[in-house]
Amino acid sequence: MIVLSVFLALGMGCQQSAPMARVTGTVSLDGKPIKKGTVRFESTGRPATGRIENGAIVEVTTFKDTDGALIGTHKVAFWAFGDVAPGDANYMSSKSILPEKYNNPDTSGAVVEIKSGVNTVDFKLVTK
Amino acid sequence: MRRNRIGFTLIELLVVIAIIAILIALLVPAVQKVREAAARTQCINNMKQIGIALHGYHDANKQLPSSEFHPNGTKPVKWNWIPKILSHADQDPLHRQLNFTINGDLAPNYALLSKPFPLFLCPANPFALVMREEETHLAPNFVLSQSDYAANAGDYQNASGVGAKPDYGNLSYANGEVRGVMGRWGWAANIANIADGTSNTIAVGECVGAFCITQNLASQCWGTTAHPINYMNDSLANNLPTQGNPRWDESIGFRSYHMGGANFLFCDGTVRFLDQNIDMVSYRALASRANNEAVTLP
Repeated sequence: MIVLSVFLALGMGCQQSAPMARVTGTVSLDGKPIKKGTVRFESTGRPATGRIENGAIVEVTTFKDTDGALIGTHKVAFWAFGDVAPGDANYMSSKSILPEKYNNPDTSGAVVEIKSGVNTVDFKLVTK
Repeated sequence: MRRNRIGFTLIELLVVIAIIAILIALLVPAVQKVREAAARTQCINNMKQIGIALHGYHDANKQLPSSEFHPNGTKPVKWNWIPKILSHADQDPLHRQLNFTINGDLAPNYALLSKPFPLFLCPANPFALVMREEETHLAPNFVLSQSDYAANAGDYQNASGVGAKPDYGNLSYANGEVRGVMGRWGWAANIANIADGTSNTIAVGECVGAFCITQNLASQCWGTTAHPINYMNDSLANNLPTQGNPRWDESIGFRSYHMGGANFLFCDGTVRFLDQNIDMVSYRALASRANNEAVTLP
């Protein structure tokens, strides 16, 4: 029985987890920090998503909340919307403040290498 | 040596108890798995019925239901798309009682819609029977039945789904630039608009949790594939919504209470369970109805 329980405990305790790394950094548009938005890191595995708050990348999440990004090369996409007055029924269709190319990781031109440990990535976006 | 004894020794009792404990430990997770599988099957069945109703509606109206009515052809009236298909989903008596010339959350419509409709609720949803207050309306005055099944508005992170052309307002119902098949308000595709193919385009997906504050049978119910499936479920699916959901732009992704993915109804009527680790290129392509992508699902 002891053997069995040890076996069960070992069997259940062994869960494969992919290598992850913490990601922080900044995002600016034409030199000014982006107030609120989303940044997405896409690689071959599940993509990581972070929030942009006052120019800083926070809460990068892949599988569980704030667990970071998978290690590897990621293409990066960005989303940010203009301010809408509270109570405006159109707030969910608020204007994108970024050029459309930044919405797609294939066209944004931003690529980062996420290594183990804590990564600091800075993105300087420009409107044209 | 032979003993005449009555009863069991302590060791024997411990052994028996331990064996029973192990058997129960094996059984309980199995029962839980079966319950989850049953909930997923029920959910797929709900979606299948919604798909049949959508096709019934399309046959009758030559268009999928939009989240809006235009009773006089002028001022749009706010409605979710779901009540439109009720007469095609065995709810014709209810459909006849609703007054579609006024908003869905006004009397008498409010009273008719403030009860749970199991067809539009996923049985895996622990909050399925919890009535929600509507955004900007405080309970208990505007407690409406939510829907766990949200229309596919597209692959962008806002409701209009038009990216660089964001002037598409929610209320401009003539606009066909919605990237999905049914916009937040005002616009819905017909089959001819779905150039990527009905088997490659999502019609309805699961969207549960915090976003339900704005998502009910009276006003609107939509989601997008901007975020990975089940993104941030820990904080966005397992909490009851609050007024003025400050994270609406993250909540709009399709998410479910099923392990490892979510169910999706496609425009051809099939229901598929998509793995939450699907690559984003394919996932976005499944939401856009006319973007010239070829997607093959396993």
